[in-house]
Amino acid sequence: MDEEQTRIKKDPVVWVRLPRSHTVKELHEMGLSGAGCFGGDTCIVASSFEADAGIVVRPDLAELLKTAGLEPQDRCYGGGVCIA
Amino acid sequence: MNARQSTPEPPAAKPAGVRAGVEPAQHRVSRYTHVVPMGKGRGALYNTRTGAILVLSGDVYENVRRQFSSRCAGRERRIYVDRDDLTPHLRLGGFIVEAGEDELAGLREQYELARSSSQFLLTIIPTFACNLACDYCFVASKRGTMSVQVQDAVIDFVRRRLQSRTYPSLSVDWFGGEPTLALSVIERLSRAFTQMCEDRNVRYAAQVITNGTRLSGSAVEILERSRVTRLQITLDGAAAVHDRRRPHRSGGESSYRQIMEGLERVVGRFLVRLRINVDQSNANGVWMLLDDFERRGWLSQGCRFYPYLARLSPLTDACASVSQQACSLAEYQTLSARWMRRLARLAPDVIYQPLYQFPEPKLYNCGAVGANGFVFTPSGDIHKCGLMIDEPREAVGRVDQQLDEDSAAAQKWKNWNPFDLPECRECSFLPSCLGGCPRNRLLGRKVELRENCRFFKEHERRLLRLHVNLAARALKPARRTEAPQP
Repeated sequence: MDEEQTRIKKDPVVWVRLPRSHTVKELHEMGLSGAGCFGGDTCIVASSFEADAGIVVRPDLAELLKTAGLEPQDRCYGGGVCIA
Repeated sequence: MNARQSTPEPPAAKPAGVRAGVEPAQHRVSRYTHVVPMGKGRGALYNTRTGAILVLSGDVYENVRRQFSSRCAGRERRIYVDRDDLTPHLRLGGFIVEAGEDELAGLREQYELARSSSQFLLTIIPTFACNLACDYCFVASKRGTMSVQVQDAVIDFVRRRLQSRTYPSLSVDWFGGEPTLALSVIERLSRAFTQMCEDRNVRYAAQVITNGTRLSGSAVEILERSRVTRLQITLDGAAAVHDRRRPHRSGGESSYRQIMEGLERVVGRFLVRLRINVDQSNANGVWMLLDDFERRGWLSQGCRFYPYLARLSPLTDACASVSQQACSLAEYQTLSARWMRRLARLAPDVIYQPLYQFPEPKLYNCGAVGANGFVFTPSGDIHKCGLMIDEPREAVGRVDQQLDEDSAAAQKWKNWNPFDLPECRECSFLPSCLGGCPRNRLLGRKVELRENCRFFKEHERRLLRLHVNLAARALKPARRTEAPQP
C-alpha cells in the first residue's frame, strides 16, 4: 500500500444524511461506490465511522430497521420527515 | 459584473496527495453550505438547502475547510479538492454547485411550487371544552362542541376538495380543547373521511393532540377505529409540578396519574410523542421521568414512544404569563441536548425522530401558508393558523359557505413570502427557516422573530454536533447484529 492510499484510509468520508434516496444505479452514475442507499437520516446505517472512503452501504439495512423498531415506509426509509 | 467577479481568484494551493493531471470542474461553494468543526481533526459539512450532512477528517477536512471558509461561500471560484473521488460527494450533497447556478431562484421556485401544491392538512377542533384548567392555556376561555350540522358541512368541504383536486394524501390533526371529550365527533368524521379516501385511493393519516387524561380502554378503541395512528400528549414535569399546573377543572383527581394510566394503554399501539414542557422552575425534575419510562419498558424497541422536552413559551397573549419562568434559548438547548443523549442511550432509534429541532430544509413554512391547510373550529369557522382562532375576524371563511380564497384574511397568508424580506433572502439559513413563523411576522412579534434568527445562527452548530454524535451512537447496536466474518 503506497503512502497516498494509507492517508486516504485515515480520512474517511462519512455520510450522515443524504439529500434524498438514491438507487444503486444513480450512485454509480455519480461515481459513488456502494451497494444501495436510502435517503434521510437512516443513511447513518449506510455509513460507518470506520469506513475507508466513499459510501459504505450496509447489506442488512432491512434487518437493522427492524432491530431499531422502524418500518420501511417506502423506497426511501429515512429522514425525520419521512418517518413522521 | 463587478471587479471581484471579473477577476477569477487563484486556485487554492494543491495539497499533498493531489493526483497529477486532475483538473477540477468549475464549481463554487453553495451559499447554503456550512462548515462545522467537530473536534479531533474532523468537521461536518451541512447544506441547509439539501439537508445533506457529510463528515470529513484529516487532510481532506482541512483542505475543504480552508476552501469553504465563509468568506468564499457563494462566490464563484474554482474548488480544488485533494482527492478526485471527493468531488462527486460534494456535488451530491449540494455543497458545491455549478458556477452558473442561481440557487436562490431555484429555492424560490421550489417554495412556490410546494406551497401551491401543499399537503391536504386539516386541523379539526371538535370541541373547545376541556377537563383541565391549565393556567397558561390559550384556548381556555372558548366554549362549544361541533354540531352535527357543522360536521356535515366539514364532510362536504372535504368531499368537494377531494373531487376538485388531486391529493395524494389527507392528514387530520384533532386538536382542542380536549378532543377526547368529543370522541363521537372524531369517530363520525373519521368514518366519512376514510371512506372518501378509500374511494379515491388517497392515503389517510390522523393524529390526536390530547392532554392524555381520558385514554380509557373504550376511548383507545374508538381512536383505533378512527384510524388515528399518532398521539401527542403533554406533561408539565414530574407528578407534583404537573398536577399543580394542570389541575382538573373539577379538582380532586391527579391528571399525572391518569396520563400514566393512559400511556400504559397506548404505548405500543400508537406512535406516541410525549411533550414535556420545561421552564426554569421544573427543569431539574425531568430526569426522574426518564428513569420511570425505562422502568415501565416504554423505551424498548418497537414501542415507538418518544418523550422530548419542549420550551414553554408565550405563543399567544393569553399565555403571556409563562414568559417570566421561561428558559432562555441557550438554557433550553443545553437541557434538551442532555436529555437526547440520555434518551439515545436507552432508545437509540430516537435519532430517527425529529425531537430536538435539528434544522432541516423545509418545503414551505406550515399549513397556514400552504394552499391546502385549514383549521376548523367547532362553530364552523375556517382559519389558516391554529393560533389565530381567538379572532373571528381572522377566519378565512365558514364551512357552510363557498370559501373565498381571495378574501382579505386569506390573502394575508397567501401573500406571505420570505423571499420578499431582504434579510431573509440573503441569509444562508433561509432553506431551513423560511423566515420563521409567518404569524409572528404578520403580527410583528419582534422578540420571537429575533429569537428565531438566534436559534439558527447561534445554535445550529451545537445541534449538528449533537446530531452527528447521536448518529454515531445509533450505529453501535446495529454493529452488534452483524454476522461474524468467516
